[in-house]
Amino acid sequence: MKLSISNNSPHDSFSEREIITGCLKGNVKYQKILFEKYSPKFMTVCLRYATDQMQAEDMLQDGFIRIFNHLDQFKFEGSFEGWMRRIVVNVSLKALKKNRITFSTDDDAGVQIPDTSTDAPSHLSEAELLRLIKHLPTGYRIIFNLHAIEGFSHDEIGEMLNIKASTSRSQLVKARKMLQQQIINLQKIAV
Amino acid sequence: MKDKQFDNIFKDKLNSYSSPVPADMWERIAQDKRKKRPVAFWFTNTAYGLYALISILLITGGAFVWKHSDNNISNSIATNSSITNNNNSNANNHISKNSTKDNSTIKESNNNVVSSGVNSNPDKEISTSPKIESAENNNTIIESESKKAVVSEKVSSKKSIHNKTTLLLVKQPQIIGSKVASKSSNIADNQNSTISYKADAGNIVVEENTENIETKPLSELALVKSDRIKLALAKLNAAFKKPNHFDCPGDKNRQDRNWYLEVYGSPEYNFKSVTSNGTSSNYLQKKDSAETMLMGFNFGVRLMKNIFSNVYLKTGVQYSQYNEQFSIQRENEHITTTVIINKVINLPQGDTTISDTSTLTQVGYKYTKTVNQYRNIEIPVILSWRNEKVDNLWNWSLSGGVIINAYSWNNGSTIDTSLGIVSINSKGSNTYTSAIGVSLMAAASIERKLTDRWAIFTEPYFRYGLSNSIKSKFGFEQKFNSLGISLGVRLKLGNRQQY
Repeated sequence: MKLSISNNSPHDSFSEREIITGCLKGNVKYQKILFEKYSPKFMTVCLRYATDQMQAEDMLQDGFIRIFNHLDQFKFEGSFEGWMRRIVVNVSLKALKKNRITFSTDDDAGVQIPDTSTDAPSHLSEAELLRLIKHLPTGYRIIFNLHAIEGFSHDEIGEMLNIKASTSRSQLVKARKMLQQQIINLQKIAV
Repeated sequence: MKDKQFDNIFKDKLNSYSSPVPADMWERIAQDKRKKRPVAFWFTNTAYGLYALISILLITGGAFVWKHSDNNISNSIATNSSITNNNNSNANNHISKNSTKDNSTIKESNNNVVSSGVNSNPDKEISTSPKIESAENNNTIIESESKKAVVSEKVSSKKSIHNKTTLLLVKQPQIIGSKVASKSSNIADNQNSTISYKADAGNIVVEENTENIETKPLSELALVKSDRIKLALAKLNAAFKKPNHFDCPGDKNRQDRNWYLEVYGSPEYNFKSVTSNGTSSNYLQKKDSAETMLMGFNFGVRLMKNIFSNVYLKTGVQYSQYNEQFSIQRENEHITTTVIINKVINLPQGDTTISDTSTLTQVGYKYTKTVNQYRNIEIPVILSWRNEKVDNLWNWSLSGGVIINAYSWNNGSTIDTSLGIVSINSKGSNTYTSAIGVSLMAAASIERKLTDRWAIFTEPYFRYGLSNSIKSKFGFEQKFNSLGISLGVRLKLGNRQQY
């Protein structure tokens, strides 16, 4: 697999293995290439989990340090990006856990969510979707990210966050409802 | 819309979405990587602090064991030697050494020196019959008014036979004549090894297994192979060299009964360790760049008392102060001025005024600079192993222990999470709360006697903060490590006999 580096660096293209090997040797050049290649995507990951921009930057910083420190544990099995993404997610969760995560138990089942058009979120830009997620309460945001975007099952989430799978399910439902409500509000403003 | 579809829209759009990364992020990562390389392993975490504590205890314990074993070896120098001085020059002097308790007898018999005593354990008795044979008529050991020690060596595989330090003092036997030729003492231990001594006018010949014979001057006795013999002879040598100072029977129980008072002071280089407790590293970086440690100091007074062997306990009270410069530059004032320039152009058809409006913004910066002071009242509890010799002007010691932070107070300023300046004064602000901190301390000192009672000393030391002494409401904790060199004076309180 070839990774094209699209920045202005003199390095045109390096194989994934070449970059990893270079990083393992402590070569700063390759570490920087790795960083430049993946940091924008992982910044999005961090922004999805973080409460604010400053916290997201901390998460990204810690995530890359952890990646570099544990690169020798990558066995060249499966997706390298997926392996790194998992580290960034774990670091983000760890940072959030420092402050006790509260899973809102507000009963908003009575809130009527009108039907939205089928492709409503698809009309929104990535930045707008990101902003919607960031406006979710921490508990909702984490569960929605882990399940809807990262693809973890509720059992896995329960294990990761030390909560019951049923709590994860209910938080996800509430997160979706809140997102839908936000989308409706956006549409109202647009109209 | 189904939930899965709803989720997928987010997933598809955000999974590969790139967000802008701060330009300095790579620098921060590179800097962080450098920071995490341990400069000195004991700084990195508390576990290493424990290693330091264990090391100190091992050093102190090792020093004690070494000293103790030295005493044991000395113990094997027979306390119960019997010496018979014989004026008969032609006779042989026989020293019969038993492993016995304090039941020495000094007999004068015709050319025989016989040690008698009650053997505490017959099984452990060492059958030794060293002989000093006189080859010349006048080569005898006689009593005189001056003092000299004569030592019999116990050679045993079981150390428990003798428990007391055993240099025996007698009135000085003098070796008369230029030579004590061919005098030898043979010691046969229960392992069937034979060691023999030969005295030859200032030289002592040591033979082991009767195969190797080395002749050494007294000053070189420390080089003899057998450690026990070496130490015994070194003691003997020391006794010859220092006629005015003798170790006594019961040396093991020797204790310096004096109390000492030490007054000291030290400039200190302090360095701070900050641990996040929920706050962002961005904030900590900004705080770190606003604060720079300055030289600190401490001074105190402590009492010192010998507790066993050469180990002394020191405790007292000390004041320490860590200084830190806090400086920050912040935007203080924005002044916006609207500037309107009117130009009047004279034209034939009449004057025309042209207005040009612009704004001028002036930003004022406020530079704040203060010195933060962290003040502490502390209680040091230190064990010190002193290599003190009565006649030495210069002595040295190794110390290790804990310093308990009993009370702290601060004044100065720092930044809060919104980068505003807040006070850290103990009175009137709760920015910092002080906790009881514990530090480990290790030191080596050199001292010089001025008089019998007064001495001065210098003591380089390192102090490692084991626990955080300051907790901040902004989500971090900090502790201090120190490197310093104390200068002080020591006064002996009272003047009790050492033995």
